[in-house]
Amino acid sequence: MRKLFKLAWRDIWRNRRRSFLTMGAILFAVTLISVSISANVGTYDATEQLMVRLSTSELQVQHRRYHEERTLENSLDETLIDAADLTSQQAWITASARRLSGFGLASSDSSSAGILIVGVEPDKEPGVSNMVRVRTGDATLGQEDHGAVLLGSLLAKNLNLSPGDSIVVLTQGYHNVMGAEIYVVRGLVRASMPELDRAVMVMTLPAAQQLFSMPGRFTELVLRTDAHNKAKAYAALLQASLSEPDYVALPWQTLMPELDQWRRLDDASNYIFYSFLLLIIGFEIFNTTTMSMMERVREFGVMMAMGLKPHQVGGMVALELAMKVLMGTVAGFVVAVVVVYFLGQEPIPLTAGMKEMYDDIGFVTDGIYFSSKLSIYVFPVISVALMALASMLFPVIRMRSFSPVKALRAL
Amino acid sequence: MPDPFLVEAEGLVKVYRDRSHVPVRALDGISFAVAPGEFTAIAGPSGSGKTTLLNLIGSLDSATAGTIVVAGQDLSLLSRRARAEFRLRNLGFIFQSHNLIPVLSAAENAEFSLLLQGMPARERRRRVLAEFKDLGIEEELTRRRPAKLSGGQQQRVAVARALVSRPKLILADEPTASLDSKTGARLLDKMRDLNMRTRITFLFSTHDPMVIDRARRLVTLRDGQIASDETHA
Ligand SMILES: Nc1ncnc2c1ncn2[C@@H]1O[C@H](COP(=O)(O)OP(=O)(O)OP(=O)(O)O)[C@@H](O)[C@H]1O
Ligand SMILES: [Mg+2]
Repeated sequence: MRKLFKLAWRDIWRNRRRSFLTMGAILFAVTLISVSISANVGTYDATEQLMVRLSTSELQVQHRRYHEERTLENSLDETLIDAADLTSQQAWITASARRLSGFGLASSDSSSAGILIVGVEPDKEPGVSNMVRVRTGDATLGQEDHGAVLLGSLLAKNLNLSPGDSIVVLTQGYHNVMGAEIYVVRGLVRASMPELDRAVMVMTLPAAQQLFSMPGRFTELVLRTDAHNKAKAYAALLQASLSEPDYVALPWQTLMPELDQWRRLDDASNYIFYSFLLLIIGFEIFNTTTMSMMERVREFGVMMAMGLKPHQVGGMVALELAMKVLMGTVAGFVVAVVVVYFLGQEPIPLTAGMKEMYDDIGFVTDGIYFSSKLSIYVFPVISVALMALASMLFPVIRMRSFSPVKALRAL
Repeated sequence: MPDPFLVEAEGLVKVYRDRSHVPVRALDGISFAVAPGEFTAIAGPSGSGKTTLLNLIGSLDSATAGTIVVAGQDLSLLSRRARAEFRLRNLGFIFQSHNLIPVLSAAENAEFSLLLQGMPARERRRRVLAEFKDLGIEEELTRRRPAKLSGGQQQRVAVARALVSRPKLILADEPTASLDSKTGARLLDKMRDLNMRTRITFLFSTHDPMVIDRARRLVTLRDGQIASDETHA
């Protein structure tokens, strides 16, 4: 077959335009699919990190039933789990904070609303998440600020409250003990997600424990780790070191299953698009290949008359096509790497419309990110190369069964 | 005792079936033999079966009935692959036109069968250049692609290609039909000269009176049968 390499190589360049078209189609497909996958993976990865930062953090220790049933009965006991202990045992835990979350009813002079009350450790919470951000110019909670609260900015607007006003809160606490308290609105926060912003009220952990009549208890121990993508492994590690059988360590994937589901749904629709693209490319290659075979029938006839064996004709053509596919694929890969590199320098900011769309589906992202992981190229390179080879197969197989007499009559 | 004939055909029949399934009897019981060293033309009106006969002798196609033995080999016993090998070792072809592979230079075209035979590059080059010189193909043409050669130059390269592997038999299907008469005559004289010197057997099909005049034996076909078979002195 080495003898025929020269022929195959020259045949690629005899009709430059057509070869460039074929290789261009392959290049285009590899590049387009790679960049598209890069944007998807990059944006999802960034969004996940952001979401994790904004709400659940990477790991939580909860009561076994809390994730399914968010009641105060499914809470943790301070005496059975010690954050400082865990942190000193597991070097990969970089920060921890306790939270007590519960529901209540808040009223101002003018109106009332159902709210989510989150008791936090004001000094530790910023270390694990950005669930709420104090708006610029607004005061924040001190560690001992048990009589003050922060309100989500939308909630404050709905209740017509500003900093300095008081707010009345009614709750049904631990073991259904009623709680009623009046607080001062210290400041407003901007929550990570609109639903949260419409409902959240932040207070100190001791104040929340008091309000819900559950001193010494909390609902979530929130942990940050040194590696976002190792959450599942870390959860398993942590689980093994928890002595209390009813307490579980949950990674963010379990805490926010919708993230994963949404990603998979989106992936599915993307792959449908890629399949269409592959089909179009395959058809183009099939056409040009068939054309270039038909043009050369006479030549194949001459070569066969001179003693070239049928399998050598097929081999020569296959070699030529394989080289084209290889060059197109490699070029596509190189172009994709370069394009992804440049796009990846800075995320592309979202337009207002897109941002709204993302907000609507409960998604937080501040731009389109491009992943430069090598794994994003696996699918485009392999699928396009296979598709191209498959669409060349038929013309080549047909070539192999050519009779020299028929071939020689062609012109 | 060695076979006195290079080609022996016995009761050759070739029936083509075209798309409408109307059988066409292109050869209708042909028996003839060719001895080594002959310079023979097959003539006859268009459609009389000349090309068909050459294709059968050249093992490019198989007969519907009858036997054909070339260089001691019964062609009907060979597989497709074995026939290709047989052509590589024993036969040379010259067609009416478009003989050459467009992406190869004149020299590369001429050495193609030597390449397939596995001859080393140096030896191939040497033989091709010698053949080119013999056929009056100028040095400067060796690197040119066929598209940059005249029709006569192309045919001379095709003859060089057929000769360079020293086959037992060269089959030439209307080799002069695409050439003007002067160029055709020169090429024919060369071939006749080579036939005298090398004893390579030539079998032509032709309408061309020039070829017919130069042939030492003339077989005439009509409707797939041999109408006459004359040997000139
Ligand atoms: N592949 C084929 N299928 C059907 N019929 C064919 C085929 N090849 C040749 N024929 C028919 O067989 C007959 C002989 O054809 P052939 O080509 O051998 O004639 P020829 O003597 O070479 O003619 P020409 O001088 O025009 O080249 C013709 O009637 C032709 O139409
Ligand atoms: Mg003919």
